[in-house]
Amino acid sequence: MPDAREKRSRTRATALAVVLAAWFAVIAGRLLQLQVFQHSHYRGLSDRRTTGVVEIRARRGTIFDRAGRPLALSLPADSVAVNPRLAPEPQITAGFLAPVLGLNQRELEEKLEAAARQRRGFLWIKRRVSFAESDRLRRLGLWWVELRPDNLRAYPKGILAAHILGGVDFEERGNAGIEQGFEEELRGRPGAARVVRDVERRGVDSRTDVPAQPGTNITLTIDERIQHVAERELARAAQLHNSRSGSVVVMDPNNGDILALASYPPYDPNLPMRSATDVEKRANHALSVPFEPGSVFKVITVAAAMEATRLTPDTMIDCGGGRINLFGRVIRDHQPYGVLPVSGVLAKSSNIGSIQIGLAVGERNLLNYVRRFGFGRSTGIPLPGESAGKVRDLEDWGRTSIGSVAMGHEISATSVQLAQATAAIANGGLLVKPRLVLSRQRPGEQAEVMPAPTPVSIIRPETAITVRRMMEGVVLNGTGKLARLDGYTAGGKTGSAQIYDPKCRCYLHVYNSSFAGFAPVANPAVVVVVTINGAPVFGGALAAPVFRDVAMAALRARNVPRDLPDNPPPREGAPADLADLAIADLGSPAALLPAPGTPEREGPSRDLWGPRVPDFYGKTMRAVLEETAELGLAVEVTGSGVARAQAPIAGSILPHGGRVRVVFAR
Amino acid sequence: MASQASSFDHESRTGRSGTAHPAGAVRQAASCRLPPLPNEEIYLYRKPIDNSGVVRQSDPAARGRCWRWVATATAITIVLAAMLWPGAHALLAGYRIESLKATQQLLRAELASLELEEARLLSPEKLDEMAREQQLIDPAPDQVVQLAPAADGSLARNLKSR
Repeated sequence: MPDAREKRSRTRATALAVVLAAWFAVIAGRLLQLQVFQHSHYRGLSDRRTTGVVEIRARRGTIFDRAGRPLALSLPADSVAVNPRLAPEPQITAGFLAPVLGLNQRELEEKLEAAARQRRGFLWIKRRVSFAESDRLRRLGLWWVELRPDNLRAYPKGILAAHILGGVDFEERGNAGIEQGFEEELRGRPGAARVVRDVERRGVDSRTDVPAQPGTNITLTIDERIQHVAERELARAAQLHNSRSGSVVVMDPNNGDILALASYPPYDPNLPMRSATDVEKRANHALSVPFEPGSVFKVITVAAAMEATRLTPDTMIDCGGGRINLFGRVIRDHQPYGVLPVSGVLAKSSNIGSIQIGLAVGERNLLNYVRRFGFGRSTGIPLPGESAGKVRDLEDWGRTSIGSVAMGHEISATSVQLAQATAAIANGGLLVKPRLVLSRQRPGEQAEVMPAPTPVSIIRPETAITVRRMMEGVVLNGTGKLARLDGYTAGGKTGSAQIYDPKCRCYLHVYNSSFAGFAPVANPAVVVVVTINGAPVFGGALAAPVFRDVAMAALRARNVPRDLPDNPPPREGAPADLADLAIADLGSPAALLPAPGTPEREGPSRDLWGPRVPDFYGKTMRAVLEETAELGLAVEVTGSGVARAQAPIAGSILPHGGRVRVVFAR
Repeated sequence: MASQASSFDHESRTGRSGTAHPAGAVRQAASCRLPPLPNEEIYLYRKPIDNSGVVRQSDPAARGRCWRWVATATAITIVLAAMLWPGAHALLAGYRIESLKATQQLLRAELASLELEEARLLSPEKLDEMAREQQLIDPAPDQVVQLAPAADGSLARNLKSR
């Protein structure tokens, strides 16, 4: 019996051992399966729960002005979202969030209720909140609020240089201006990081897989001080006469640097586009909207004449008493002139005189020089939407086109093109490409200065100097008197081109009032082109004062030494003196003429009677004083050395009671 | 296991005890009041035991075993702690580093926000407005003096005009 019991016990023990062994075997097998054979699978599952790959935002490059002042910069910002299913009641949620984020509580409540009804699991509350807002929200510690990292593009100077900078869309992609033109460089490349979090979503570890590459910083040639004055004065003048649009371009004629480029109406790039009016405001009128330049273009005609004909500033031009019949088309001057020297034609902005000069130059030559000055092709400025303007081929010219083109009609140009052409005259005959980007700096590298394109000689230096002096005459004695500067000599040309209305197929009695000039005359440091569109006021009265204020600010900002004594010349001038209308239509020019009842006069203007001013350039002070004494001219001398600049220019007729200013330098 | 107390209780009930015990008096008294504990007369019985004669005998082998166990346990603890300590430290350091990174990002955001504010305050429009309020005028060209930085670095301009 004991054997039987013992045997039974042993059998039971054996059975138990087998069961236990099987049990352990199953467990071991399962462990082997989980830990070895399916290791990667379960490791992946685990990693997916605890480890996440997050994008490292690449900071968009900053845009600076030429002195390193930021015009556009990006900063990290948070976007606020909630899960309506997890959030408390809409009233409570809105009560928490609306005051912190500056939202309308009622509207937010309705938004949350709608999201809850639709069973949505995600709802943006506010995108790109400020640092203060996100900080306040973070301090509240609301677990159902999610702060998602984002970037905010900010333009700290508001409307300043908005048309140059452009803007970015919702995904921070450039949609205009430099932001669009340099999108690839500014944007940078985002990186990626692997982040390990615990069950409470707290970060445990992180590893950067691909480092983020911040965008390239770009330094513009713009000077924010000059830009501000340009925008301010442009807006003031445009609002004064209810003008539709306008632009100001300030350029360094020696290297083509654009120092300011203002367009009116302005807009704030910090605000999103809401209406069609906003879209119109974003048009860059200095670059994208060509117009008929009118009388400012007469400078090109005269320059072509100085190059291609035997005409000199003193050559007398028959202005036909203010009327010409050009192949059956009657064109009138705004004021009747008899015979004027070429310099007088420019100073008085005689249409007939310009046509006569244009005829002397010839169609082919004139078109050649128009193209040499850069009209009809884009300047290559790195902004999207630049217009090339329009210069028709010779085959497309009509019989009277030579007359129209000579006074700035049947041709269209942008303000930047006009600035480029004026710079060529100011710098001695070199066509320089406008430069808007001074340098760019990739992260971690030295700033790379953008090379200035090699200028191209388009006219002889002597011609440029001659035209410069004639343009000084415009400011001193002609239609640009309101452009005179305090302490600086200046040259320029006014323009008042009638605006063509395609609806009525006629020219309206509102103008593209413009002024293209430079200062100082002897060694120009700045070129300023002002255009105000749609004003019933001539360029000499509207654009010239803007030129004066902007040029003064630019010369001060550029620290240009004065070349005249500090006694401001008188600025009085009758409206008739400022008239420079390029009459393009065949309609009723009499209606455009100021001072009705003024008897028409044949022959030279009364202002032009008097002794001619000799050329003092390069002469010593003693020689100048002797010569003026002989001629009985009143003279005012400044500086020492030899004569470097004079006003009025050589060959012009000194008005009664006038005096000659001569500046000497070594 | 039957306790000594319960054996005693059993003997007293069966009357096998040789001692004259006033059980009747006790029962009579007990019938008059509810005892606080059942069988308290048994359980609260105290039997003095004198074990002063018990002497602990020294067992060096057992002591040795004991110390070996202690040493082994300590060694295992130290090894385990040494193995786990870097991981735990790394975990805690990870929390700290991530927390510092978050703080760094916040500080960077704050710095960028302050830079933006500075740029806004220095905008020409703002300065223009302030100048008008204080009735300041533009200086004449000759009044502007640009100071070149001294060679010894004692004077420097904040914004260098290019």
